[in-house]
Amino acid sequence: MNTDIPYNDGVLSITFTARPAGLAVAGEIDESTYCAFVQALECYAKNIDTLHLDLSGLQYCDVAGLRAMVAVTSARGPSTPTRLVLHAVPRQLRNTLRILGWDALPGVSVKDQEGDSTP
Amino acid sequence: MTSSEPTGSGGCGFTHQAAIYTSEQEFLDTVLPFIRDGLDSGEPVLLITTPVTLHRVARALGRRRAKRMDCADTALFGHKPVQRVTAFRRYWDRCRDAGATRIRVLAEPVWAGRPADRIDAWERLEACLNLVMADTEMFMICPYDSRVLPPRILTSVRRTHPWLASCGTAAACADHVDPRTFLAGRDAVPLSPPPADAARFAVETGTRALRAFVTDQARRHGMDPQTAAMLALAASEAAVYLRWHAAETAPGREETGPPAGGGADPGGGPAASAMVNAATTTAAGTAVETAVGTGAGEAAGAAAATPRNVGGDTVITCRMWCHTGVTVCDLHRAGGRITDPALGLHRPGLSPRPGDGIHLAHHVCDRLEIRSTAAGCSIRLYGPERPYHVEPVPDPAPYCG
Repeated sequence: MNTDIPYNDGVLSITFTARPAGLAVAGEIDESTYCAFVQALECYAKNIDTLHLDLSGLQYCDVAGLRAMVAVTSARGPSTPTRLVLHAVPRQLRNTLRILGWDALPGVSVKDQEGDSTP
Repeated sequence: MTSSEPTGSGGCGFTHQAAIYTSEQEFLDTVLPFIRDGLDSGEPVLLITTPVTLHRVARALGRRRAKRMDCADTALFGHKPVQRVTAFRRYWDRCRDAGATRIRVLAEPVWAGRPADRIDAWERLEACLNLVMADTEMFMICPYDSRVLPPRILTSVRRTHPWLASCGTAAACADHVDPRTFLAGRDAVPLSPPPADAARFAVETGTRALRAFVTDQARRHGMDPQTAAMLALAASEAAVYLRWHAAETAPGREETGPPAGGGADPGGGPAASAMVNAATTTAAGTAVETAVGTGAGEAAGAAAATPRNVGGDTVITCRMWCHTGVTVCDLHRAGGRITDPALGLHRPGLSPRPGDGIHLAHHVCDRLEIRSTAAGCSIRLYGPERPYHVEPVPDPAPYCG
C-alpha cells in the first residue's frame, strides 16, 4: 500500500519540494498519521541517495515518526546507505533528536533555516 | 589479578559492587586495585566522581597510569538517572565497538542536597542498573562515604548492590535483594491522590486532544510554550504506552509487537479536535470534567483493522495540577499492571521496543512515577521546573590533570 504524494488528510500533509528535491512534511505525525507517513517515505526514498525533508510546517512528531525518518538511512541495506537531510527542524523535534542521539547517526544531517549544519 | 572481582575477569556480565568506606585511606585502598587491575589488563577504566577525588586518585595512582583512564565529573554526568544510565550504555557501546570485552566503571553519584524524591529515584537506579546493564560486560564499583551519607541511603545501598567491595576484596552482600523485589517494594507506596480540583480530561482514542489539553493546562500554570510542548510530547508518549500495554495484556488478544509508536489508531482526527474544544472551553475554572467518547466507536473499529493498532479504545484519564510550582500530569488507565520496573531506561534504537516513549518522558520531565494498583496503571509526570533545554551528557575523556 502506498501513500500518494501530494498527501493531505487534514492532520498530515506531504508535498514535493523543488530545491532541494525532496518532501515537505507538515502537520502532525502521531499514531493517527504514522502509517501514511511511513508509506510515503518508503515509496519516495526507495530509489534516491539523499532524502531532503522540509520540516518547517511540522507541528508534532512522536518518537515513532522520528524513528521512521532516521531509519531511512539504513532502509536500503548497509551497502546502499541513504543520506537524510532535515531542514528547518522545529524546536521540539530538534530536542527529541538530541535527547535520543539520533542527530548524530551516520547519514543524518540537521540543518536550520539559515543553512547551518549540525553536527 | 582482579582481586575485587568475585568471579574473575571476562564473561562475568554486569558486576555491581558497592564500596562503603569510612576513611580516605579505605577509599583509596579499595579503588586503586580496582583501577590498576583494569588498566593492567587492558580494560577501559572510567572514573565518575568529583574533580577533587579524581585528582586524589590520579596522584595515588601515578601520572603514567592515570593518563590511561577515562574520567567524567559526576556533577555533569547526568542530572537525572535516565541520563546517567544512557551515558553508561553509550560508554559501554563505544568501548565494545573499539574492541573491549570488559570495562570498569567507578561511579560516585551526587547525594548532597538532593530532596527525598530525587534520592528515591537514584536508589531505584542502583537497583535498575542490575537489570538494564545485565547484558554488558561492565564491572562497576559505586563508592559511598559512610561519614556523610545518612543511614537510610546506606541501607538501600546494601539492598541494591549484590557485592560489597573493600580494600581489594569483594564479598556477597547479605542484605542484597532481587532488584525486582526492591523496586516492587518502592512501588507498593501508593501515589498521593490527585487533588480534588485537578483539571481532568478523559480521551478514548487518539492523542491530539490530550496534547492540546496538557499544553493548555501547562500554559495556565505559567509554563513557557516550548516547555509545555515538550511536556505534551511526554504525556502523549505515556498515553501511547498505556494504550499499547492495555492491548498487550488484554485477555484473548494477540500480541501486536512493541508500540513502534506509531500504532495506527486512525481515530485521532476530527473527533479528537472536538474533544479539545470541549476541554479548553470549559477549563476556565480549576476542574475540567470532560467525558469523551463521541465518535470513538467508529474510530476503534477502524483501528481494529490495522495491524499496528495499539489499543485505541482504551480510555486514558489525564489529571493535571500544580504542586509547589511544579506542573504535575497524571495519566491513568483502568486495569492492568505494568511489570517492567525499569520501564524507559533502555536507550531507544532503530528497532522499536516497549517504553521508548517513556524513555523520552524520563528525559523531558524532572521525574516520573509509575504505579500499578487494583484501580489500574498510572504514569505521573512532573514537568520541568525550569524552561526545558536539552542537557547533553559529555562523553568521558582521558584524564589529563
